[in-house]
Amino acid sequence: MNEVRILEIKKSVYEDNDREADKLRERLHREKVFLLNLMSSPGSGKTSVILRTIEHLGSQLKMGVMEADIDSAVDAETVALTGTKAIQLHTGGMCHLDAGMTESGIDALETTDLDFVILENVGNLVCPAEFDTGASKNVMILSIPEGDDKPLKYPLMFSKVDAIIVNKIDVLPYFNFDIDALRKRVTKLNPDVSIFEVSAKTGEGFEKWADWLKKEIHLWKN
Amino acid sequence: MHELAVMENILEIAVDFAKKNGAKEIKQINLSIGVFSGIIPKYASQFFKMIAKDTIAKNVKLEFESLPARFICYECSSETEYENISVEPLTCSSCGSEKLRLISGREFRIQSLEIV
Repeated sequence: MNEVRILEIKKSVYEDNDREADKLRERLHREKVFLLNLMSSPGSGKTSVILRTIEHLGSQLKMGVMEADIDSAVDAETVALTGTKAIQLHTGGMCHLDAGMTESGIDALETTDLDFVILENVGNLVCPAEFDTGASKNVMILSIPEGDDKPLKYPLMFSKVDAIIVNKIDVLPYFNFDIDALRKRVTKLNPDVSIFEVSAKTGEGFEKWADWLKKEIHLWKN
Repeated sequence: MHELAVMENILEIAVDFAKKNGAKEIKQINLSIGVFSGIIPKYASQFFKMIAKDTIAKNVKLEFESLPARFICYECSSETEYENISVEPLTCSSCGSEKLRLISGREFRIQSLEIV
């Protein structure tokens, strides 16, 4: 009987993806293309938030959108109607995008003449949080009907994002959603995060979000 | 949900490392996993068995060590550990303050392999 040997590895399971993501981030920095990774649950209003963002920034910046979905082209078609360059990425059943898939999307979209690309990640709050896509900034949307307790249930996502868009504030009177409680919960996990309260339906709150984004894009490109 | 993709990473890292070290078989993989990680050990082990069946890791045992979430207190700088963060309010175990900052709990690492 051979003796059992122990080999120390001490390596992150995500190390290879993290390395690829860093490489993509460096490339995008060189090419002066800002990539925003937008994550949320299904139905929180990702596509509507993107459409409002196009409304605010589309005339000032050259934008592109990559819509990741398990299998459909509905979102990319909706975005393309605004005249914005858009492609659909099919993840082939996968619940998240990794850096390799994101880079293929960047190549397919042909981003060299763009200032800014939004990646609409697959709708879920678990898996996309684990995989660095190579984005310049990571942002999530939480909508009012989902509840203010979500940071307790999906702490990884809330701890990793640079900004949180609280969408559908127009329906706040109909739900027991406590925005102060949300802020308190999030701050413990992520003290530097920016929080924007918006309604993609009415357009409320989008100036502040657009200003933040414009500033981040400017910092990235200069 | 994403256990399969993660297990593929682990299998690749483990087999590569074991072969470089002249292993005939991998007996056990020791993993440490932060409480914030979305991985469920039971499903992870099932996926691993499925993808490892034609490799030197086919009879492997995955051992998961759970790492707590660690917070540091803004008021008194001491550290508090929580196995579960859905208990509210989260407070500093030394001074009771609620002003805490997360310092760890998100990691997922392969610590070591047991090989023959």
